[in-house]
Amino acid sequence: MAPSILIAEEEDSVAELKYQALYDGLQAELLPTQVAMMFMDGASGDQLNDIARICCELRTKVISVSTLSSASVHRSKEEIDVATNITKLCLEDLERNDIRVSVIGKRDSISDSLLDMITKMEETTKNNKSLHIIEAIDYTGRGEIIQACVALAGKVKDGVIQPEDIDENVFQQELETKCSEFPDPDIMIRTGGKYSIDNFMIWQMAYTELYFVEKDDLEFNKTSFVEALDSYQKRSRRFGGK
Amino acid sequence: MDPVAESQKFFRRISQSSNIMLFLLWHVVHLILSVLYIVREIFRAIENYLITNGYVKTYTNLNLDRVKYLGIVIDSDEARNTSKVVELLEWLSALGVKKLCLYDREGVLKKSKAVFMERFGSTENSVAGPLVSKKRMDFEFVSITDGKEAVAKAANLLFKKYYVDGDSEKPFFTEAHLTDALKTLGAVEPDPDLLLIYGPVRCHLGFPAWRIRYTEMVHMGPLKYKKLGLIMKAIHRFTKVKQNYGS
Repeated sequence: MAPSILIAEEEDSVAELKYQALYDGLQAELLPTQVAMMFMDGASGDQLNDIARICCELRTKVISVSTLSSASVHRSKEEIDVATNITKLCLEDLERNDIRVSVIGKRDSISDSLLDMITKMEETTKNNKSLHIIEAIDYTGRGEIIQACVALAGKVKDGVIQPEDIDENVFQQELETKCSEFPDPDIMIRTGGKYSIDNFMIWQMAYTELYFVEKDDLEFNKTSFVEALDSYQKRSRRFGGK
Repeated sequence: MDPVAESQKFFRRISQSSNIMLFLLWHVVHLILSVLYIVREIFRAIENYLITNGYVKTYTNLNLDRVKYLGIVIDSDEARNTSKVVELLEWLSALGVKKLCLYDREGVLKKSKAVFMERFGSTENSVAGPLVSKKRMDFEFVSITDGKEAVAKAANLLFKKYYVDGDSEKPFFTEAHLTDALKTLGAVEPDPDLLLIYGPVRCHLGFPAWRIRYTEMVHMGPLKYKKLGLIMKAIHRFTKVKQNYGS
């Protein structure tokens, strides 16, 4: 067998051992309930399946996924289609593993064929409870806040609510992440070596652990994900309190 | 001898052995990681020394024009140590930072505003030498009340202005509307380009969400362990990275 193949196989074995060793050290009660993932150009189906499987096993409840290229201005519908992650997941697998999927963001930026697929996935999986995957498509944090303002303005206009009754808690109920039982991520993992959240869930990330990874999307694998979880469980979090 | 019981015993022994192996492997991996972290901290200390004393030419000329507005987030418990905060500000002043936003959740820094303004509001030189010669800095002091609460208040302003009378058209707000409403409430400064976070936890502790959409954030560790070299490195790294700002 060629030496390069032998070296590659050995590296795979070492990586698998490292993954298994880290995974076995994780304690579910110390792990995040909600994970946010930011990819530069999108994850592969295998990466998503690995992440979803690990989250299900470790009882993570919600994972929010954003592909930054789909949130950028002036993207065509075709580019947004390619960048969308949840369509790389198989509906049968989602059903079998009791996983629910939802989409937040601007649906008028999505092509009709993708919109049909997403609607079907959301409808089919809406009663699943094991894990909730939320994909952000053409989504911006500021846009979400503005949308909440518009929704509350409508309620004020209709006399349902008075302006002085509106505080940050009422505001939070109008955000798109109200579809989730746990809207605020405990940890945000971003690939690509940039250290910003790029207008993703800016309202929700007040006390979110920020974990920036130098690896690009292709290099970020299940071991990288488990390393992030391992790093999270070592940190003490006070949510702004004492 | 019962072959089923024997085989069960055999597989149980194998399972126990493999559990022990994984247990040992987990500890070996964590031991290696701990050693790597220690080596990394030693390296960072050496790096800080070299950068601070000008041995690394790369960091001698920081392109501070790219950092128009620097944000500093400090854990409120650590912010009570005013001397450490003053030392940090002296370093930033010496580096040439002109506009600074200081944030802590509970508003401890707001209460010490007079101290900072008095020390950094003039151009007098320090007796300690050129490295800590003070230059004027423009400050903004921010706390949790300037975050989500301010956005809710700004939204209330818009609602009262446009929709309480019941004759208005269908609600239509843009980001510009909310930004203007926030300015009316006193938030007139731009978004920070770079946020340096001091504290035990790697999060921005509720810094006003409206203002950090494209802000680079770097966790610097606890304030008591701050290092000038690492500040210079963080600023240098920011100036070298191409900022897309969502495009």
